[in-house]
Amino acid sequence: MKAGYCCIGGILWVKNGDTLLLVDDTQRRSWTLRGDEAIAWELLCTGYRYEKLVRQLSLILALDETAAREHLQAMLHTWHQKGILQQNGAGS
Amino acid sequence: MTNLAISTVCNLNCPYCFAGDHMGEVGGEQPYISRETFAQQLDYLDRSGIDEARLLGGEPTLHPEFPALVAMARQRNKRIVVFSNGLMRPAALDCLMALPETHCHVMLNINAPALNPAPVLTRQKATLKRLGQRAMVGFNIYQPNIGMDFLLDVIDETACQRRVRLGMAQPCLSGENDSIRPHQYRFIAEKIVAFARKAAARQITLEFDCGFVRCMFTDDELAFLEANGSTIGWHCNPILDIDAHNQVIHCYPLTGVGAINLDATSTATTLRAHFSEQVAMYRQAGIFPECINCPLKQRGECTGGCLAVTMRRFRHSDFAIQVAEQEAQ
Repeated sequence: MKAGYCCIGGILWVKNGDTLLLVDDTQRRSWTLRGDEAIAWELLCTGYRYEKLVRQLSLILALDETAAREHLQAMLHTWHQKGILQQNGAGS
Repeated sequence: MTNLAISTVCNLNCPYCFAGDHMGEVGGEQPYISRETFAQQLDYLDRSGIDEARLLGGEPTLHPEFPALVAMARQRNKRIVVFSNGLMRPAALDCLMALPETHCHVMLNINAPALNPAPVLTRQKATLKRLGQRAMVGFNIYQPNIGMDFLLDVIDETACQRRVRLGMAQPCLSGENDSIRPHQYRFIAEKIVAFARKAAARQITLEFDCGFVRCMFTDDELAFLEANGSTIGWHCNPILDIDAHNQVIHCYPLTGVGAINLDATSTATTLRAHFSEQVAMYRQAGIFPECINCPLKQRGECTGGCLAVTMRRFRHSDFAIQVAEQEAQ
């Protein structure tokens, strides 16, 4: 079985150097992503599939694939908790 | 400050016009403000303690009842400020000439020669000559390599105010108008300073519209501009433009951002607070990636340029990622 996440509809983002600023236009909230989170977010936005994303993160962050996968899972979970991502099929 | 857009009709078609998004929405069958709506807007100015009626359009002087609207504002003791292209009807010009100089200020926008056929400039100069000290020349820089020197001759010829108001064409959120890009700002700053030197030699000073940023000028350039009487700031705030149907917007370039209706209790303070809160998230960024860490911006000395430019930097990414179900838990 597969499940997944997608970006909340009202989220807009901009890159400022190595920092990303995310805003939710509808909820009037904002978040700043730095470091690994900024890297992962940009990779997500390229549209990579999950396994390729894990491999890319593993290479960029010099982690083995298991660690990269756990790191990515943790970030996705955090973003979901913060309201940046929603689980697929949860409405927009 | 609040501008009252009394007409959506214009007799020019400038490629940089940042009112385009708004004009498209509200034109149609009622392109001019009614006297009743205008009176409501004057009430708003009174409530807000604003002693100016700043009339813009479109071309505001094309309103068939322009003299009557000016008279209504004068009855409330408002100073009349008009943003015009100078191609105005005789009745409109006569009514402005009938006002005391101290109560009438016309910002007459002149385009670069490439956009301005000679007959248009001739008419504009005739208007300026008649208005004299009631009028000041405005100019929008909409391309980087644009000549402005001819404006100095226009001022000498017409004996209008010895001051030029410079604007940089900013994008509508739709991006459909011609506008200056941030990477062109530095080049434009050099052009402005060169123009300012020529202007200073003829005792003509400059003032700057919103959207300029501090970092486009060197310290020496800024010192020169200030020493020669230029009025310069690095601001971008809710101007508050109210249209002919009592819709209030942050400013023309931000037409797409939550217009609200003017009601009987609205004041400039409450409206400005509303729009400031609405765009506060975006204000964290600026027109350049570096703005977010800029000490001048953090201290509030520079707002980071035009918010429409900043907002156009943002994007949405419509991604979806599939993971194993146990990983998604």
